Amino acid sequence: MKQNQIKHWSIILILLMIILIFVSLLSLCVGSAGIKLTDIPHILFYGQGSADHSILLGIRLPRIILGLSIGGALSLAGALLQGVFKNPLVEPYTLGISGGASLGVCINILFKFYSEIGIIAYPLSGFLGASLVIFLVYSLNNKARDIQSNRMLLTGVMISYVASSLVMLLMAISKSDDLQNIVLWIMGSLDEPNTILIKMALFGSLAGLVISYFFCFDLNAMLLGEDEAANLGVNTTRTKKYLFILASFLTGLSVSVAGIIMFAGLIVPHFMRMIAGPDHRILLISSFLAGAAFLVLCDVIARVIISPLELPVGVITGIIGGIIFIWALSRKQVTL
Amino acid sequence: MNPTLTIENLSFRYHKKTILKDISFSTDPGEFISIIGPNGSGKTTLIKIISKISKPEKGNIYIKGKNIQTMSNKELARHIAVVMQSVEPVGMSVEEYVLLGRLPFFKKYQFFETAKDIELAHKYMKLTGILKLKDAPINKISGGERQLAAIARALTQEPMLLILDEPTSHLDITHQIQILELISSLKKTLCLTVLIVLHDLNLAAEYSDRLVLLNGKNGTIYQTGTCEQVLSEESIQEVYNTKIRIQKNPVSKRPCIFLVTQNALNKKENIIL
Repeated sequence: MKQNQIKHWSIILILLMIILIFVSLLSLCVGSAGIKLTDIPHILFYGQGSADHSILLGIRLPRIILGLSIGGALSLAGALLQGVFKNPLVEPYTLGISGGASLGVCINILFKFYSEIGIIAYPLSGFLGASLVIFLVYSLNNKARDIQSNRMLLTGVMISYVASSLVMLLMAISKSDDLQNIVLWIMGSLDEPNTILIKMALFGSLAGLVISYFFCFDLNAMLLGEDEAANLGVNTTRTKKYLFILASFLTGLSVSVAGIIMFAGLIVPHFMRMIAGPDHRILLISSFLAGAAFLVLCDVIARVIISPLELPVGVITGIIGGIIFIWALSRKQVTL
Repeated sequence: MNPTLTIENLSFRYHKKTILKDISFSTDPGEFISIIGPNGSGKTTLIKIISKISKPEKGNIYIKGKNIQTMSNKELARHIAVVMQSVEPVGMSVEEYVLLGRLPFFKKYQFFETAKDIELAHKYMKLTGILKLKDAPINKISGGERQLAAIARALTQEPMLLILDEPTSHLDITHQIQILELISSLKKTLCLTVLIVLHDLNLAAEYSDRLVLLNGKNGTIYQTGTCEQVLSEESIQEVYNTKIRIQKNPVSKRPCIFLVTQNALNKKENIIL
């Protein structure tokens, strides 16, 4: 391995860690109850029982952890899907995977699976919905000679519409207390009181990151196209299947805990590819870290922009991401 | 001598249409074999079957006597390297691209390239003359240089069989000759078996030890043999359905094909009249 490449990669990782810590501290300080950064150590060590202490540890810290996990998971899922499909506009939301996951979770809320098999029903139903969509999108487009074609994106967007219409249908026929559950969850927020779900999101996304590294070389080879990857000894059918399952798992997990957060998986890998290069050995981890920082930052913006009220974080990522999507689409390399 | 590649009774159908039928031939170590034939005669399909991208309907393929269906993709990639018609213009550097040729040799849980991998990549980049471009992104170099990079990547796999699918089709004559000279010298220095799909019959005649002429009409092999045996006026006219004349290349004494156009025929008639 070349020395200067290791150096380059280390600098990127260190910078991202610094940004991540900085953003997390910012998120810890900012909010309706303004807490100064310099007061935080004091509150943590001596302020047990005080209001500030419970705000920091009970509300803001879990929110940061959730933001890191979900942001990382969505960006990682985006990086994996962009690698498989070789299309920079692909991500869980544009492929309709998030939509499928949300439909799964809605069905779970409506039919009360969670009361039978416990809280795990949320991520599980999200995962099932997500994987259903991804295999549907893939098999609908597999016959087309050019899998990169943005026809797949259109299929994904249509599936998103169908899924959200079905969600509305479910809302229309559901009872009022279920309805409130669904509406609150669909708004997409990092405000999650259930610590088990937060832990699940954290460990699930980290596990996803570790597993994704088993495929980093396959993804590098697939940059050259599927046939070339096969010539380099990659079992492309198997790799694609595993990566689809992994991306569905990450998306299902995120959607079931935090609702639909649009475009987070689009922007971050896109920019990390510009900065760190296309090698997935650095791209996967840097997308995860940058995605974590991005979502926590978006959450800070969502909390302060119309303070004392709060916006759903999905609104912020949707605005930023949508604009960047259009910009990326209008660039020359991307043809529709 | 054990043949490098043996193809036995290979048939392939796509959407109920026969593309290849009863294809059998073998290549000896160090041989330069060109596959020629009209468009749609299944040349690229044949290569895809040998590299296990497509599955044959029936028939077997052996590398050094071992059936490729019993080999993993990775094992196969240590024996065969394939250079396709064009290289995807990705954003990675030439060096990163060439190093991908070492992927089949990565051990489980190996994360970085070894010193040997880098040494090999540099060796073959030097041999193909692209070492000076090593930091340039693939999507910023010319088509000819990209094709050289693809060959360097294939050589980095240290294969015994090098397969090329029309490596010269988009290139000017400078690069066409450069690439074929390179391959034919590599054949000697590395004792490489070369299986190449070529559109240009004259290039095939100049460089090949043997030719495999595919017949597009029924997917069979029309003829296998030396350039002189295969490149006859009758067989080329029949397979390609085009009027041609064959004479000897004044320098190499190999067969050389001349096209007969309607325009020229008209003029000739005028002269005779």
